[in-house]
Amino acid sequence: MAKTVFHHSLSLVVTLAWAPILLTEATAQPAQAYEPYVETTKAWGPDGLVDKPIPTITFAGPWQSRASFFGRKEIRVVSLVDTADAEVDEVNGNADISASMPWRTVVQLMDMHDLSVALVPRDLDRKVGGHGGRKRSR
Amino acid sequence: MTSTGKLGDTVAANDHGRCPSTGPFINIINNSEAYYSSALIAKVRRHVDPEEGYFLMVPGDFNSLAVVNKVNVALVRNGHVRRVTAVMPADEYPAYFAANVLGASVALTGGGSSIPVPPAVALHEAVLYAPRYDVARSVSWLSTDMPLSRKARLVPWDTKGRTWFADILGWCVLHLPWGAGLRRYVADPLFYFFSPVVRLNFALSGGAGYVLDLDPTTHADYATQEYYVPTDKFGAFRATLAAVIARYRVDALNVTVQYSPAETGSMMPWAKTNVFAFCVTYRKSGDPTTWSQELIDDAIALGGSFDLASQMDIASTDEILAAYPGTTDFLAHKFRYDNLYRFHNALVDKLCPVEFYNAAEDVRRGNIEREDALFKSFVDLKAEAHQIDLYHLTGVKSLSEIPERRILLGRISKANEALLEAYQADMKTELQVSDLKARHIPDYLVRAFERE
Repeated sequence: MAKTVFHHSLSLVVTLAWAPILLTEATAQPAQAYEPYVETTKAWGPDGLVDKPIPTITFAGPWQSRASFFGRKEIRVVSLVDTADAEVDEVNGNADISASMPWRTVVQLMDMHDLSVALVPRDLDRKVGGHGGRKRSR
Repeated sequence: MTSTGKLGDTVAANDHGRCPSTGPFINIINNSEAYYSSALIAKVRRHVDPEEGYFLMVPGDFNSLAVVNKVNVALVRNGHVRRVTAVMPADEYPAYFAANVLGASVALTGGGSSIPVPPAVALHEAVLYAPRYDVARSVSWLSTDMPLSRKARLVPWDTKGRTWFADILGWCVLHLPWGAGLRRYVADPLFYFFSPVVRLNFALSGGAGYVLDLDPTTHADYATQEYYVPTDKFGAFRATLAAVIARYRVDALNVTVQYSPAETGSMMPWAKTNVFAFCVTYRKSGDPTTWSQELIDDAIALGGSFDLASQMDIASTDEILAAYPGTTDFLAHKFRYDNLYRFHNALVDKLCPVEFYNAAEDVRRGNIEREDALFKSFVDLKAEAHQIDLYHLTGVKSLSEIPERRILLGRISKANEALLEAYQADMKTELQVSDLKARHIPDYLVRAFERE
């Protein structure tokens, strides 16, 4: 009971307090448009390609692909390509993009050409995957 | 902070975005490169052969058939877009959508460029408000020639434009007892009060949406599920969704609706017709299987489907087969192009039970044993021939005149042929339908195997 009363009181106080703050937030300008992208160790930034090695194809989600090379030993597929790269054709309006390139980098790279990919996931950071609460074993 | 969403993930899942005119990702792919399991044997030789249908197999295959390496995608100009919102009863949303989104048109100048301008409604989604989900807020980004109200080109990656008081706001909406009402009556009206004009990339880089971006530190506690229903079944599914969420007290943080036109080309299409995608974001607590399966069954009954990527573990095999009729074809291609079963994942593991892999493994092990035995006899014959050569080396003018040596060479040749055949058999993994039936493999799997 005391906990409920506390929660409701806190809600009321916060509601009354934030209205002017929200107005400020709605009109706020981002301080800096570009932030160099450094999640991987080689990627496109506002000043061009940051020269560092990059982890290659990695699969998020429950279907993380594994491959048994040569029919004997099973390992994860992680090193099929060496770099995340893209080639933009500004005349015909298309681009060859490595599958290992993060979406954030894709958007940033296209923006440098003043272009957009016709379809971008709603959440650029989204790991495509499931509930993750249960493990499967074989 | 992590950021792991990669282009390859989107291709593998054939994901969609907020653009109502494009739909699944396969619709904007011009071509792709992928590695197939046979290519891995051949030291990573690329297969790029749209004529044979390789291309169409890759998007939406969850990396089961091939591992995508590179894709060529269509681009549009980074034009100006203006945000427009409207609040309405949820049941009126389909009519609103048909009139104002599908029926929208815009006349923008191309500026002499051959690259197309964004569609009239570049981005669109609707938010359904808790707890009854009977009120919808439509959020559209319309293409425009109006001057920019925000000069920034992209939303900053680290903060996504948030400030500390936005974090407080997010905490309140997500954790306080009447946070849902707070969002609907106070926060959202203020947040959407203005109609900013920004570049398309700015809108695209804006993150997961208003509420979820407010509390990024706990993203790991959230999960999403998605259900696809034909556009004319919007009302029926929305009612079921609201009832199920209330009955099972699902801690749903956000329910959004996006539109996707029907797709063609992928083997496992989730948008068989024009569909609305209901994306439910919920806080992970307990097992979601019961309520998820109820929604999955309802979506299938209405002629829709569900998101395999997020519900692979939850959906039963029967539900997958009902929602994705192309599953049998998909498995047939799996057996054809990855007949050594090198690419495993949760989907393949679910559809192909352990017994199937054991059968394949038995055949493979048998092949290896046969290869080992043949190789041993081959080596023994070569050693024997070498001994004969050494024995006769000094006493005979020509080794070819020795009769037993000729016979031995013939046996070596036959052993070599047998060894090569054994290697080829290993490559083919000679599983038999009769073997599968004897092991009580499910019928759909046997049918797919026969079709291969």
